[in-house]
Amino acid sequence: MADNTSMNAVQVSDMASGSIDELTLSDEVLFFRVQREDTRAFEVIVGRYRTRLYNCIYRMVHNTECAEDLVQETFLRVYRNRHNYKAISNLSTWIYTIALNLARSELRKRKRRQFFSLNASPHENSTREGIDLPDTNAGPGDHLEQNELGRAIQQAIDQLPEKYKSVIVLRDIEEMSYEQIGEILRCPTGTVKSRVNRGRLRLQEMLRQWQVEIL
Amino acid sequence: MNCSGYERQMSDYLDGQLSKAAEDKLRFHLNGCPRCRLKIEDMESSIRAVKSLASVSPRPKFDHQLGNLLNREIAREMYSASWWRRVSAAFADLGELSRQRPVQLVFATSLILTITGIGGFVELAAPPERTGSSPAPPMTFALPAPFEPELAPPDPVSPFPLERVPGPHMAVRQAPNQEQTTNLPSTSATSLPLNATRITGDRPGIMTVRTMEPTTHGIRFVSAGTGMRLDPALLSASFGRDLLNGGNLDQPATEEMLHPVGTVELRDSQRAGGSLNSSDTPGSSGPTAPLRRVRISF
Repeated sequence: MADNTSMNAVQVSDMASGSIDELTLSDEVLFFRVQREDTRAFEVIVGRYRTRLYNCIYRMVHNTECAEDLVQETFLRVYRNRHNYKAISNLSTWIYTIALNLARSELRKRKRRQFFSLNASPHENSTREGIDLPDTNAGPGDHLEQNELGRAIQQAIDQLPEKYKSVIVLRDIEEMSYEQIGEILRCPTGTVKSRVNRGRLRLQEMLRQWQVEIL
Repeated sequence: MNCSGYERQMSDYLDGQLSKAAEDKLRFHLNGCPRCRLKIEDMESSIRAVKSLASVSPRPKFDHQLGNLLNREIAREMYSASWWRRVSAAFADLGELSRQRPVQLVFATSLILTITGIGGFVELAAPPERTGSSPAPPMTFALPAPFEPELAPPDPVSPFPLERVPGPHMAVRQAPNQEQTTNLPSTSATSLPLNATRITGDRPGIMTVRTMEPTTHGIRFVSAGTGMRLDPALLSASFGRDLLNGGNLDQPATEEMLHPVGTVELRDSQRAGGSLNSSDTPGSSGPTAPLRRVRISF
């Protein structure tokens, strides 16, 4: 009993030091334990996904704080809805679905805010919603790319429409299969393939226009 | 098929998703069309560039923030857990136990039934003058397992909840490697925040008391026997900030906070309001009160 209870306070920083048993178990088995209220198993799940999810969401939203918030919100929702997860689908698909939905929703919010900001008349009361132009650019801590090429590619990804951005990030950065991307985005595999193709073509055109030299 | 038709297949071609026939047709087209060949070469290099993007990690404080967030969520769930959810969780645990250890469960059940049957038979067979000469002894039952083997076996305890008593008397026994908590506050139950503790029945035979300080990292647990009802306010006073060095929100919980810190002895106190004492001797809180020893871990 003490062994079970002593691990209930979540220590995210200690997640790497899980037991061999926990580290070798599949995601689904671990999550079954989470459904049985084993928070230690959830720590292992968080440890497995935190960097992957952060990397994926960061590439989508290109803002450190926002990406961190969204990853936190993702894990919170995963934990909150743990009893809704059915083992018929991959755990990773389920987690990525939640994360991508949050990221896409954030991107749509930004777009809406931008739209209202640009449509607002300068004579209107400045306290009205939509007057303040949100800063969608990267924050001061977001210059993570070590070279020009990395910055240019991230900028090109930022310019992509949301539906192409998601598939490019999932396919080329997360290296997921078309089928898994289809499950995450809830669209047919054919649609995913077509979006990946168009997204890549757009990306390539942008990089060519900017005369970015790719070795 | 014209160039735009082949353009639609380029991505599939680079991912190896085209059929052999379609691949051959595209290759044949690329041999004769420098524009498409340039396009596919550009696409290939841009995919390589995207894939070569360095993986980014969250900032160091992220783990701490996430841990806090999840702990708060766990605590929120404990507060809002309904009676039915707790009962269903207990039954689910029992179900899992029956799946994992069916033989042991059947054996334990049959043992309990046998003991109960023998007890009933003995009671029925007892002469009437014997039962009339002395007051009926309180119903007792064995502990599921001794939590602290080094301590003497506990006295029998009433299986009925202690909540009929105004406040249980509670004494804290220190674990060997922990600092003494001799200065625990002696206070009445009503003056303490009641929301700091929640009692849940995790599984049959074990009553788990989860205490939480919302302003600290700890969610603490106390295990007790069946029928035990602990006073939330007293637990809050015993295992709150005193054992967490003030419970600083910005400080991550250290390893020592997670160690078992001692045992709580509960007795059916006659005094209203209850009080907290530190004691190393299990029987020092009153000779007549039934005693139950429980283990605490953080």
